[in-house]
Amino acid sequence: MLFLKLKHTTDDLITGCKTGSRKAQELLYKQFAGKMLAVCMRYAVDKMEAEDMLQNGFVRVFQKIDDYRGEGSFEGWVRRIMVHSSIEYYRKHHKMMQVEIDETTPGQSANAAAVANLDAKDLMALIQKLSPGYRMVFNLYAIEGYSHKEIGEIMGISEGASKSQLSRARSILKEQVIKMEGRNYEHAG
Amino acid sequence: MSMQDKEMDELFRAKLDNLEIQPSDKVWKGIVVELDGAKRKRSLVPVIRIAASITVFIAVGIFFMLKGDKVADQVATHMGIKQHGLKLTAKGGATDKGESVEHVLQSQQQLQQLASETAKQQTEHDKTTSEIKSIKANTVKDNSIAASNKLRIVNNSKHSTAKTVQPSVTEVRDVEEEKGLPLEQKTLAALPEREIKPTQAVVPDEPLNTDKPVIPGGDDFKTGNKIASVQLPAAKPAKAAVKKHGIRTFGDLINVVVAKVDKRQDKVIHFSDSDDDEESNITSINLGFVKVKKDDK
Repeated sequence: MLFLKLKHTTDDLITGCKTGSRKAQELLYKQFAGKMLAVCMRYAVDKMEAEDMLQNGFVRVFQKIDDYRGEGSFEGWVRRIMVHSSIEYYRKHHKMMQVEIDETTPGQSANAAAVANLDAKDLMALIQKLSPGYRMVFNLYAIEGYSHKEIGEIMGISEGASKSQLSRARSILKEQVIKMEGRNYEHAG
Repeated sequence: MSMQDKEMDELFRAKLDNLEIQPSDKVWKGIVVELDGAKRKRSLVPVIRIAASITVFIAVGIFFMLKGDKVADQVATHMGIKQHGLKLTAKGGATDKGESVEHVLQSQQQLQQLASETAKQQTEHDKTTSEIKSIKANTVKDNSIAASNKLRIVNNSKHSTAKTVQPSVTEVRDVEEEKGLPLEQKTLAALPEREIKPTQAVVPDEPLNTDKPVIPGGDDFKTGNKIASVQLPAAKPAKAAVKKHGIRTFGDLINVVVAKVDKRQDKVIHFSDSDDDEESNITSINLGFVKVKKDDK
């Protein structure tokens, strides 16, 4: 009966998923896959890696869907699962990687206006260019809103290390923004 | 942290928040494969549980089977005692293969029911002792010829006729001598054909003994009949027991049903017969390869 409808509310799909309906799962996946892949992309080097994170995340969503009691937005719940999936992926694949210290010239700074001029895909590309450690700290702190203490626990580093890595990540991003703005200006000119 | 940093974070967040990137088809296929794999793993769990419970059941069965030998011995000795008790009730005489306590109970019940009839015989004995002895002699002789399955009736009729006819009085010793062997032979011949009736002749052993301690031959005659009666119900022990006990508990119901289906002596499952038990307890299990029997005290 549920799937005779042309449009399904998220609640309908959640109910369907809780009964184990494969069709409901597919529809729910299609509804959130695009947004969630964008979340995973920020934590990944490339799309392939992000899709691995996305797959693991959705499997967990369907397995744990009974745990969702309708408190808070469902999208937020799924998003948190995707972030956790990405963190897990990071632990598995990048834990042993040493944090690269990019030698960038200090003093150069990009202002907010410069960032605003870039589109989302450019910003995503900048983040992906960061080394895994910087990328993780920047994502968790600047975008997800985790504290340094939480990040330290997640990544197995100290709070101070989290702060310094964030600082480093920011300065790298600013430089990259300036470079990109310069390139865009040249193209435009 | 400078204000600029916060602004930059906010810009990154705002711009990336609305971004959507469509994944390739293989992601959904991978999800389906993983979910099915998890299901298959989960479906194994009940199978493992069932296997585990069967293993435990067999292990317990073997444990009780090994322990069951001791229990069987206990039951055997217990049965022996009961059989002895049966003989006592019958006041000696020939032994038989009394198989269970129920037989004793049954014979006792029947004895009580028929006490009145036998009492008449006793009074007759009291009045004319010598006559009865001679009558017995006649009876023994007649009975050896008469049809065996109506022994008691014939016996009674002979009693009455004997009084009127008044056969030639012989000495008591002669009567006893004659009576001894033929009586036993007759009883043995009667066993297969007679049903429960012969028990009736047996009851009044005690009064007979007290009134007439002089005539051991008379007692022998009675006990001979009694033993026969005890032995006979052994032909259908299970059914008789069930009927006597009645269905009061769920266990009794199971016993009746099992008795209908399972004709073995050790039923596939048997519950306790005791009346005072609120709950029925399993007293024996017979699975062919595993037999468990509890001594029901």
